[in-house]
Amino acid sequence: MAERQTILIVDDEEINRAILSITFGDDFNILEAENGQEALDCIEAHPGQIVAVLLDVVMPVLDGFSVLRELGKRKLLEQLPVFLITAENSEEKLRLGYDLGAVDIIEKPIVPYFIRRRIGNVIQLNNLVRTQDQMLAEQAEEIQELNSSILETLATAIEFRDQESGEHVRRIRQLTLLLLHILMERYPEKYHFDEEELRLIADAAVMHDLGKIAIPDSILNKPGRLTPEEFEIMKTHTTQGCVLLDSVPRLRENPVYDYAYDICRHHHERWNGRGYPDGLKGEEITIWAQVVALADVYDALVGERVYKKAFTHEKAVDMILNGECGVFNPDLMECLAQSQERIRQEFREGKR
Amino acid sequence: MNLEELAGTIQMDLQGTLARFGGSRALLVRFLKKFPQDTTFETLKEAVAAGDDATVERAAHTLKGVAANLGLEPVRAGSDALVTAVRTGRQAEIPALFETLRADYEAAGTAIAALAE
Repeated sequence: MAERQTILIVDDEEINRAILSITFGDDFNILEAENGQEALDCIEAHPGQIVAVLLDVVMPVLDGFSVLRELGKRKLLEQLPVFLITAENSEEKLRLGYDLGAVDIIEKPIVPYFIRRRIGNVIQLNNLVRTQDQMLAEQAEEIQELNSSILETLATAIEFRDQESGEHVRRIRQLTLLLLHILMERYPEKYHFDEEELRLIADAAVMHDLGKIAIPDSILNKPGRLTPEEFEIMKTHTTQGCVLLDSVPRLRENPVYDYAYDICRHHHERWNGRGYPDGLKGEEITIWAQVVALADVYDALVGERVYKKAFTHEKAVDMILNGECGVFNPDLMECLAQSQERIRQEFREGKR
Repeated sequence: MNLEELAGTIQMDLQGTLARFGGSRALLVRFLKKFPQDTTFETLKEAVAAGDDATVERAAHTLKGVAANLGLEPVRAGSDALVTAVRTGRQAEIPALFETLRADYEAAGTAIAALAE
Protein backbone atom coordinates (compact mmCIF):
# COMPACT_ATOMS: atom_id res chain seq x y z
CA MET A 1 0.00 0.00 0.00
CA ALA A 2 1.65 3.15 -1.16
CA GLU A 3 -0.81 5.42 0.58
CA ARG A 4 -0.47 5.98 4.32
CA GLN A 5 -3.31 4.43 6.22
CA THR A 6 -4.99 5.91 9.26
CA ILE A 7 -5.26 4.64 12.81
CA LEU A 8 -7.35 6.10 15.62
CA ILE A 9 -5.88 6.47 19.11
CA VAL A 10 -8.37 6.81 21.97
CA ASP A 11 -7.20 7.66 25.50
CA ASP A 12 -8.15 10.37 27.97
CA GLU A 13 -4.52 10.83 29.05
CA GLU A 14 -2.44 12.98 26.73
CA ILE A 15 0.75 11.14 27.62
CA ASN A 16 -0.71 7.81 26.58
CA ARG A 17 -1.93 9.23 23.28
CA ALA A 18 1.46 10.85 22.69
CA ILE A 19 3.35 7.61 23.22
CA LEU A 20 1.14 5.69 20.79
CA SER A 21 1.30 8.56 18.34
CA ILE A 22 5.11 8.47 18.44
CA THR A 23 5.08 4.70 18.06
CA PHE A 24 2.89 4.71 14.95
CA GLY A 25 3.41 8.19 13.54
CA ASP A 26 6.18 7.18 11.14
CA ASP A 27 4.01 4.69 9.30
CA PHE A 28 0.44 5.90 9.72
CA ASN A 29 -1.73 8.97 9.76
CA ILE A 30 -2.92 9.43 13.32
CA LEU A 31 -6.34 10.51 14.56
CA GLU A 32 -6.84 11.10 18.28
CA ALA A 33 -9.89 11.04 20.52
CA GLU A 34 -10.09 11.77 24.25
CA ASN A 35 -13.03 9.56 25.15
CA GLY A 36 -15.33 6.89 23.77
CA GLN A 37 -17.92 9.30 22.42
CA GLU A 38 -15.30 11.27 20.48
CA ALA A 39 -14.00 7.98 19.14
CA LEU A 40 -17.42 6.98 17.80
CA ASP A 41 -17.89 10.43 16.25
CA CYS A 42 -14.46 10.18 14.64
CA ILE A 43 -15.16 6.71 13.23
CA GLU A 44 -18.43 7.96 11.81
CA ALA A 45 -16.72 10.98 10.27
CA HIS A 46 -14.07 8.83 8.53
CA PRO A 47 -16.01 5.89 7.11
CA GLY A 48 -13.77 3.18 5.67
CA GLN A 49 -10.61 5.20 6.28
CA ILE A 50 -9.49 3.91 9.67
CA VAL A 51 -7.59 0.60 9.60
CA ALA A 52 -7.22 0.09 13.37
CA VAL A 53 -8.48 1.57 16.64
CA LEU A 54 -6.22 1.67 19.70
CA LEU A 55 -8.68 1.96 22.54
CA ASP A 56 -8.19 2.72 26.24
CA VAL A 57 -10.71 1.10 28.59
CA VAL A 58 -11.23 3.46 31.54
CA MET A 59 -12.28 6.86 30.18
CA PRO A 60 -14.79 9.57 31.08
CA VAL A 61 -18.04 10.09 29.12
CA LEU A 62 -17.95 6.68 27.39
CA ASP A 63 -15.53 3.89 28.27
CA GLY A 64 -13.79 1.45 25.96
CA PHE A 65 -16.18 -1.46 26.62
CA SER A 66 -19.13 0.73 25.65
CA VAL A 67 -17.34 1.72 22.45
CA LEU A 68 -16.84 -1.97 21.60
CA ARG A 69 -20.50 -2.71 22.31
CA GLU A 70 -21.63 0.18 20.11
CA LEU A 71 -19.29 -0.78 17.24
CA GLY A 72 -20.56 -4.35 17.52
CA LYS A 73 -24.13 -3.13 17.31
CA ARG A 74 -23.26 -1.11 14.22
CA LYS A 75 -21.64 -4.23 12.68
CA LEU A 76 -18.36 -2.36 12.24
CA LEU A 77 -16.06 -4.74 14.11
CA GLU A 78 -15.67 -7.07 11.13
CA GLN A 79 -13.89 -4.47 9.03
CA LEU A 80 -12.39 -2.41 11.83
CA PRO A 81 -9.92 -4.15 14.15
CA VAL A 82 -10.02 -2.71 17.69
CA PHE A 83 -7.12 -3.19 20.11
CA LEU A 84 -7.59 -2.49 23.79
CA ILE A 85 -4.57 -0.73 25.24
CA THR A 86 -5.01 -0.94 28.97
CA ALA A 87 -3.40 -1.09 32.40
CA GLU A 88 -6.01 -3.72 33.18
CA ASN A 89 -4.83 -7.06 34.53
CA SER A 90 -8.00 -8.61 35.88
CA GLU A 91 -8.65 -11.76 33.90
CA GLU A 92 -12.40 -11.20 34.00
CA LYS A 93 -12.13 -7.78 32.36
CA LEU A 94 -9.62 -8.92 29.75
CA ARG A 95 -11.99 -11.75 28.88
CA LEU A 96 -14.86 -9.28 28.55
CA GLY A 97 -12.75 -7.24 26.11
CA TYR A 98 -12.19 -10.24 23.84
CA ASP A 99 -15.83 -11.31 24.16
CA LEU A 100 -16.98 -7.87 23.04
CA GLY A 101 -14.89 -8.22 19.90
CA ALA A 102 -11.46 -6.73 20.60
CA VAL A 103 -8.89 -8.29 18.25
CA ASP A 104 -6.15 -8.15 20.88
CA ILE A 105 -5.47 -6.62 24.26
CA ILE A 106 -2.15 -4.91 24.89
CA GLU A 107 -1.02 -4.04 28.38
CA LYS A 108 0.39 -0.75 29.52
CA PRO A 109 3.24 0.04 29.68
CA ILE A 110 3.48 -0.56 25.97
CA VAL A 111 6.68 -1.83 24.36
CA PRO A 112 6.85 0.01 21.00
CA TYR A 113 8.58 -2.74 19.03
CA PHE A 114 6.08 -5.41 20.05
CA ILE A 115 2.99 -3.26 19.73
CA ARG A 116 4.05 -2.20 16.22
CA ARG A 117 4.43 -5.85 15.28
CA ARG A 118 1.18 -7.05 16.84
CA ILE A 119 -0.95 -4.31 15.36
CA GLY A 120 0.95 -4.11 12.08
CA ASN A 121 0.43 -7.83 11.44
CA VAL A 122 -3.32 -7.53 11.79
CA ILE A 123 -3.47 -4.45 9.58
CA GLN A 124 -1.36 -6.17 6.91
CA LEU A 125 -3.54 -9.25 6.97
CA ASN A 126 -6.66 -7.11 6.68
CA ASN A 127 -5.14 -5.21 3.76
CA LEU A 128 -4.48 -8.50 2.02
CA VAL A 129 -8.02 -9.72 2.60
CA ARG A 130 -9.43 -6.43 1.36
CA THR A 131 -7.32 -6.52 -1.81
CA GLN A 132 -8.38 -10.07 -2.51
CA ASP A 133 -12.05 -9.31 -1.84
CA GLN A 134 -11.81 -6.49 -4.33
CA MET A 135 -10.16 -8.73 -6.91
CA LEU A 136 -12.82 -11.37 -6.45
CA ALA A 137 -15.59 -8.80 -6.85
CA GLU A 138 -13.97 -7.47 -10.02
CA GLN A 139 -13.61 -10.96 -11.45
CA ALA A 140 -17.20 -11.81 -10.59
CA GLU A 141 -18.32 -8.68 -12.36
CA GLU A 142 -16.22 -9.51 -15.43
CA ILE A 143 -17.73 -12.99 -15.55
CA GLN A 144 -21.23 -11.55 -15.30
CA GLU A 145 -20.55 -9.06 -18.06
CA LEU A 146 -19.14 -11.78 -20.25
CA ASN A 147 -22.16 -13.92 -19.46
CA SER A 148 -24.54 -11.12 -20.43
CA SER A 149 -22.71 -10.36 -23.64
CA ILE A 150 -22.67 -14.04 -24.67
CA LEU A 151 -26.41 -14.15 -24.15
CA GLU A 152 -26.85 -10.97 -26.15
CA THR A 153 -24.73 -12.30 -28.97
CA LEU A 154 -26.79 -15.47 -29.09
CA ALA A 155 -30.08 -13.59 -29.00
CA THR A 156 -28.87 -11.14 -31.65
CA ALA A 157 -27.85 -13.98 -33.94
CA ILE A 158 -31.38 -15.33 -33.69
CA GLU A 159 -32.94 -11.91 -34.27
CA PHE A 160 -30.91 -11.53 -37.45
CA ARG A 161 -33.02 -14.20 -39.04
CA ASP A 162 -36.17 -12.11 -38.90
CA GLN A 163 -34.38 -9.03 -40.25
CA GLU A 164 -33.94 -7.50 -36.82
CA SER A 165 -30.75 -5.84 -35.82
CA GLY A 166 -29.20 -6.29 -32.40
CA GLU A 167 -30.99 -3.11 -31.37
CA HIS A 168 -34.19 -4.94 -30.53
CA VAL A 169 -32.33 -7.13 -28.05
CA ARG A 170 -30.70 -4.16 -26.38
CA ARG A 171 -33.95 -2.18 -26.30
CA ILE A 172 -35.85 -5.05 -24.71
CA ARG A 173 -33.24 -5.15 -21.96
CA GLN A 174 -33.50 -1.40 -21.39
CA LEU A 175 -37.28 -1.22 -21.59
CA THR A 176 -37.68 -4.17 -19.24
CA LEU A 177 -35.38 -2.60 -16.66
CA LEU A 178 -37.10 0.77 -17.06
CA LEU A 179 -40.57 -0.71 -16.59
CA LEU A 180 -39.43 -2.68 -13.52
CA HIS A 181 -38.00 0.48 -11.99
CA ILE A 182 -41.18 2.43 -12.71
CA LEU A 183 -43.24 -0.38 -11.13
CA MET A 184 -41.10 -0.29 -7.98
CA GLU A 185 -41.31 3.50 -7.75
CA ARG A 186 -45.06 3.58 -8.29
CA TYR A 187 -46.03 0.58 -6.15
CA PRO A 188 -43.20 0.20 -3.65
CA GLU A 189 -45.19 -2.00 -1.27
CA LYS A 190 -46.25 -4.31 -4.07
CA TYR A 191 -43.14 -4.71 -6.21
CA HIS A 192 -39.55 -5.01 -5.19
CA PHE A 193 -36.58 -6.34 -7.13
CA ASP A 194 -33.03 -6.28 -5.80
CA GLU A 195 -29.96 -5.66 -7.95
CA GLU A 196 -29.34 -9.36 -8.51
CA GLU A 197 -32.94 -9.99 -9.56
CA LEU A 198 -32.93 -7.05 -11.96
CA ARG A 199 -29.77 -8.35 -13.59
CA LEU A 200 -31.20 -11.86 -13.98
CA ILE A 201 -34.52 -10.61 -15.38
CA ALA A 202 -32.72 -8.33 -17.84
CA ASP A 203 -30.52 -11.21 -19.03
CA ALA A 204 -33.55 -13.46 -19.31
CA ALA A 205 -35.51 -10.78 -21.20
CA VAL A 206 -32.81 -10.74 -23.85
CA MET A 207 -33.51 -14.42 -24.51
CA HIS A 208 -37.30 -14.11 -24.87
CA ASP A 209 -37.38 -15.01 -28.58
CA LEU A 210 -34.75 -17.75 -28.49
CA GLY A 211 -37.33 -20.23 -29.83
CA LYS A 212 -37.58 -18.39 -33.15
CA ILE A 213 -34.50 -20.35 -34.22
CA ALA A 214 -36.87 -23.29 -34.67
CA ILE A 215 -39.35 -21.40 -36.90
CA PRO A 216 -38.88 -21.82 -40.69
CA ASP A 217 -37.76 -18.75 -42.67
CA SER A 218 -40.87 -18.96 -44.84
CA ILE A 219 -43.03 -18.22 -41.80
CA LEU A 220 -40.67 -16.03 -39.82
CA ASN A 221 -40.08 -13.67 -42.73
CA LYS A 222 -43.41 -13.90 -44.53
CA PRO A 223 -44.38 -10.40 -45.63
CA GLY A 224 -48.15 -10.95 -45.61
CA ARG A 225 -50.59 -12.28 -43.05
CA LEU A 226 -49.89 -15.73 -41.63
CA THR A 227 -52.44 -18.44 -42.30
CA PRO A 228 -53.98 -20.01 -39.15
CA GLU A 229 -51.71 -23.04 -39.62
CA GLU A 230 -48.63 -20.84 -40.00
CA PHE A 231 -49.62 -18.83 -36.95
CA GLU A 232 -49.89 -22.02 -34.90
CA ILE A 233 -46.32 -22.84 -35.87
CA MET A 234 -45.20 -19.28 -35.13
CA LYS A 235 -46.70 -19.55 -31.65
CA THR A 236 -44.46 -22.51 -30.83
CA HIS A 237 -41.43 -20.19 -30.63
CA THR A 238 -42.37 -19.78 -26.96
CA THR A 239 -42.21 -23.47 -26.10
CA GLN A 240 -39.33 -24.08 -28.53
CA GLY A 241 -37.35 -21.52 -26.54
CA CYS A 242 -37.86 -23.64 -23.44
CA VAL A 243 -36.77 -26.77 -25.30
CA LEU A 244 -33.61 -24.98 -26.35
CA LEU A 245 -32.91 -23.80 -22.79
CA ASP A 246 -33.38 -27.33 -21.49
CA SER A 247 -30.92 -28.65 -24.04
CA VAL A 248 -28.07 -26.52 -22.68
CA PRO A 249 -26.10 -28.68 -20.26
CA ARG A 250 -26.16 -27.42 -16.68
CA LEU A 251 -28.08 -24.25 -17.50
CA ARG A 252 -30.68 -25.34 -14.96
CA GLU A 253 -28.11 -24.76 -12.22
CA ASN A 254 -27.76 -21.14 -13.29
CA PRO A 255 -30.09 -18.71 -11.46
CA VAL A 256 -30.99 -17.11 -14.80
CA TYR A 257 -32.61 -20.38 -15.97
CA ASP A 258 -35.91 -20.01 -14.08
CA TYR A 259 -36.43 -16.46 -15.32
CA ALA A 260 -35.38 -17.31 -18.87
CA TYR A 261 -37.65 -20.36 -19.03
CA ASP A 262 -40.60 -18.39 -17.68
CA ILE A 263 -40.04 -15.41 -19.98
CA CYS A 264 -39.49 -17.55 -23.12
CA ARG A 265 -42.66 -19.46 -22.43
CA HIS A 266 -44.93 -16.69 -21.17
CA HIS A 267 -44.03 -13.47 -22.94
CA HIS A 268 -47.13 -13.88 -25.14
CA GLU A 269 -49.60 -14.54 -22.33
CA ARG A 270 -52.19 -11.84 -21.65
CA TRP A 271 -53.85 -10.60 -18.45
CA ASN A 272 -57.31 -11.83 -19.56
CA GLY A 273 -56.12 -15.34 -20.42
CA ARG A 274 -56.29 -14.81 -24.19
CA GLY A 275 -52.56 -15.20 -24.77
CA TYR A 276 -50.51 -18.31 -25.52
CA PRO A 277 -49.19 -20.97 -25.08
CA ASP A 278 -50.77 -21.76 -21.68
CA GLY A 279 -53.61 -19.23 -21.57
CA LEU A 280 -52.50 -18.05 -18.12
CA LYS A 281 -54.61 -15.34 -16.50
CA GLY A 282 -53.83 -12.34 -14.27
CA GLU A 283 -51.28 -13.04 -11.60
CA GLU A 284 -50.75 -16.57 -12.85
CA ILE A 285 -48.31 -14.80 -15.16
CA THR A 286 -45.20 -13.61 -13.34
CA ILE A 287 -44.70 -9.87 -13.32
CA TRP A 288 -41.39 -10.15 -15.21
CA ALA A 289 -43.01 -12.14 -18.02
CA GLN A 290 -45.73 -9.48 -18.14
CA VAL A 291 -43.15 -6.71 -18.27
CA VAL A 292 -41.20 -8.36 -21.10
CA ALA A 293 -44.48 -8.92 -22.96
CA LEU A 294 -45.28 -5.22 -22.76
CA ALA A 295 -41.75 -4.19 -23.73
CA ASP A 296 -41.86 -6.59 -26.68
CA VAL A 297 -45.21 -5.27 -27.92
CA TYR A 298 -44.12 -1.65 -27.58
CA ASP A 299 -40.85 -2.27 -29.38
CA ALA A 300 -42.58 -4.17 -32.17
CA LEU A 301 -45.02 -1.28 -32.67
CA VAL A 302 -42.44 1.50 -32.86
CA GLY A 303 -40.14 -0.53 -35.10
CA GLU A 304 -40.56 -1.51 -38.73
CA ARG A 305 -41.47 -5.12 -39.52
CA VAL A 306 -41.81 -7.09 -42.76
CA TYR A 307 -45.57 -6.91 -42.29
CA LYS A 308 -45.91 -3.29 -41.05
CA LYS A 309 -44.44 0.20 -40.92
CA ALA A 310 -43.17 1.85 -37.72
CA PHE A 311 -45.69 3.65 -35.52
CA THR A 312 -44.82 6.76 -33.53
CA HIS A 313 -44.31 6.49 -29.79
CA GLU A 314 -47.61 8.29 -29.13
CA LYS A 315 -49.54 6.02 -31.49
CA ALA A 316 -47.94 2.92 -30.00
CA VAL A 317 -48.82 3.95 -26.43
CA ASP A 318 -52.41 4.76 -27.52
CA MET A 319 -52.80 1.38 -29.20
CA ILE A 320 -51.56 -0.48 -26.13
CA LEU A 321 -53.71 1.55 -23.72
CA ASN A 322 -56.75 0.95 -25.99
CA GLY A 323 -56.23 -2.77 -25.73
CA GLU A 324 -55.41 -3.24 -29.41
CA CYS A 325 -52.51 -5.50 -28.55
CA GLY A 326 -54.23 -7.56 -25.89
CA VAL A 327 -55.04 -6.92 -22.25
CA PHE A 328 -52.28 -6.08 -19.80
CA ASN A 329 -52.04 -5.76 -16.02
CA PRO A 330 -53.73 -2.49 -14.92
CA ASP A 331 -50.65 -1.65 -12.81
CA LEU A 332 -48.51 -1.82 -15.94
CA MET A 333 -51.01 0.26 -17.92
CA GLU A 334 -50.90 2.88 -15.19
CA CYS A 335 -47.09 2.90 -15.36
CA LEU A 336 -47.15 3.21 -19.13
CA ALA A 337 -49.72 6.01 -19.08
CA GLN A 338 -47.93 7.99 -16.37
CA SER A 339 -44.36 7.47 -17.58
CA GLN A 340 -44.82 7.87 -21.35
CA GLU A 341 -42.27 10.63 -21.58
CA ARG A 342 -39.58 8.71 -19.72
CA ILE A 343 -40.16 5.68 -21.90
CA ARG A 344 -40.03 7.75 -25.07
CA GLN A 345 -36.72 9.32 -24.06
CA GLU A 346 -35.18 6.06 -22.96
CA PHE A 347 -36.26 4.48 -26.22
CA ARG A 348 -34.69 7.26 -28.27
CA GLU A 349 -31.44 6.96 -26.40
CA GLY A 350 -31.50 3.22 -26.88
CA LYS A 351 -32.06 3.66 -30.60
CA ARG A 352 -28.87 5.57 -31.18
CA MET B 1 19.80 15.98 37.75
CA ASN B 2 19.91 14.15 34.44
CA LEU B 3 17.76 11.24 33.31
CA GLU B 4 20.26 8.59 34.42
CA GLU B 5 20.39 10.07 37.91
CA LEU B 6 16.59 10.31 38.05
CA ALA B 7 16.26 6.70 36.91
CA GLY B 8 18.62 5.60 39.67
CA THR B 9 16.71 7.58 42.32
CA ILE B 10 13.19 6.33 41.51
CA GLN B 11 13.78 2.86 39.98
CA MET B 12 12.99 3.76 36.37
CA ASP B 13 13.78 1.37 33.52
CA LEU B 14 15.32 4.16 31.47
CA GLN B 15 15.92 2.18 28.27
CA GLY B 16 12.44 0.71 28.14
CA THR B 17 10.89 4.07 28.89
CA LEU B 18 12.98 5.94 26.32
CA ALA B 19 11.92 3.43 23.68
CA ARG B 20 8.31 4.55 24.20
CA PHE B 21 9.37 8.05 23.19
CA GLY B 22 11.13 6.93 20.05
CA GLY B 23 14.44 7.25 21.90
CA SER B 24 13.95 10.98 22.36
CA ARG B 25 15.28 12.16 25.75
CA ALA B 26 13.77 15.61 25.19
CA LEU B 27 10.31 14.14 24.68
CA LEU B 28 10.58 11.95 27.77
CA VAL B 29 11.68 14.94 29.86
CA ARG B 30 8.81 17.02 28.50
CA PHE B 31 6.21 14.44 29.48
CA LEU B 32 7.83 13.75 32.86
CA LYS B 33 7.60 17.49 33.57
CA LYS B 34 3.89 17.33 32.76
CA PHE B 35 3.26 14.45 35.11
CA PRO B 36 2.95 16.49 38.37
CA GLN B 37 0.34 18.69 36.66
CA ASP B 38 -1.95 15.76 35.93
CA THR B 39 -5.05 15.96 38.16
CA THR B 40 -5.56 12.21 38.52
CA PHE B 41 -3.61 12.02 41.78
CA GLU B 42 -5.70 14.84 43.30
CA THR B 43 -8.89 13.03 42.28
CA LEU B 44 -7.57 9.86 43.88
CA LYS B 45 -6.65 11.67 47.12
CA GLU B 46 -10.13 13.19 47.45
CA ALA B 47 -11.82 9.88 46.67
CA VAL B 48 -9.75 8.08 49.35
CA ALA B 49 -10.70 10.77 51.90
CA ALA B 50 -14.38 10.51 50.93
CA GLY B 51 -14.39 6.70 50.89
CA ASP B 52 -15.63 6.75 47.25
CA ASP B 53 -14.46 3.31 46.16
CA ALA B 54 -15.59 3.54 42.55
CA THR B 55 -13.60 6.72 41.99
CA VAL B 56 -10.61 5.32 43.87
CA GLU B 57 -10.60 2.34 41.52
CA ARG B 58 -11.01 4.44 38.40
CA ALA B 59 -8.43 7.11 39.32
CA ALA B 60 -5.89 4.54 40.57
CA HIS B 61 -6.36 2.62 37.33
CA THR B 62 -5.73 5.73 35.23
CA LEU B 63 -2.69 6.69 37.33
CA LYS B 64 -1.35 3.17 36.92
CA GLY B 65 -1.51 3.42 33.13
CA VAL B 66 0.21 6.78 32.96
CA ALA B 67 2.89 5.84 35.48
CA ALA B 68 3.52 2.59 33.61
CA ASN B 69 4.07 4.40 30.32
CA LEU B 70 6.34 6.99 31.99
CA GLY B 71 8.41 4.30 33.67
CA LEU B 72 7.49 5.44 37.20
CA GLU B 73 7.53 1.92 38.57
CA PRO B 74 6.81 2.54 42.29
CA VAL B 75 3.83 4.79 41.40
CA ARG B 76 2.55 2.13 39.00
CA ALA B 77 2.89 -0.61 41.63
CA GLY B 78 1.24 1.53 44.33
CA SER B 79 -1.71 2.38 42.07
CA ASP B 80 -2.10 -1.25 41.10
CA ALA B 81 -2.24 -2.23 44.78
CA LEU B 82 -5.09 0.26 45.33
CA VAL B 83 -7.08 -1.05 42.35
CA THR B 84 -6.69 -4.59 43.65
CA ALA B 85 -7.68 -3.60 47.19
CA VAL B 86 -10.95 -2.08 46.00
CA ARG B 87 -11.74 -5.01 43.75
CA THR B 88 -11.05 -7.63 46.38
CA GLY B 89 -13.06 -5.81 49.02
CA ARG B 90 -10.07 -4.96 51.25
CA GLN B 91 -11.23 -1.39 51.89
CA ALA B 92 -9.54 -1.29 55.31
CA GLU B 93 -6.13 -1.37 53.63
CA ILE B 94 -6.82 1.59 51.38
CA PRO B 95 -5.56 4.40 53.67
CA ALA B 96 -2.23 2.66 54.35
CA LEU B 97 -1.78 1.75 50.66
CA PHE B 98 -2.54 5.32 49.72
CA GLU B 99 0.11 6.64 52.15
CA THR B 100 2.73 4.39 50.51
CA LEU B 101 1.64 5.61 47.08
CA ARG B 102 1.72 9.23 48.24
CA ALA B 103 5.33 8.83 49.38
CA ASP B 104 6.36 7.35 46.01
CA TYR B 105 4.34 9.94 44.09
CA GLU B 106 6.03 12.77 46.01
CA ALA B 107 9.48 11.23 45.55
CA ALA B 108 8.84 11.05 41.81
CA GLY B 109 7.63 14.69 41.85
CA THR B 110 10.75 15.85 43.69
CA ALA B 111 13.05 14.00 41.30
CA ILE B 112 11.21 15.33 38.27
CA ALA B 113 11.38 18.89 39.60
CA ALA B 114 15.14 18.52 39.93
CA LEU B 115 15.45 17.20 36.39
CA ALA B 116 17.36 19.51 34.04
CA GLU B 117 15.33 20.42 30.92
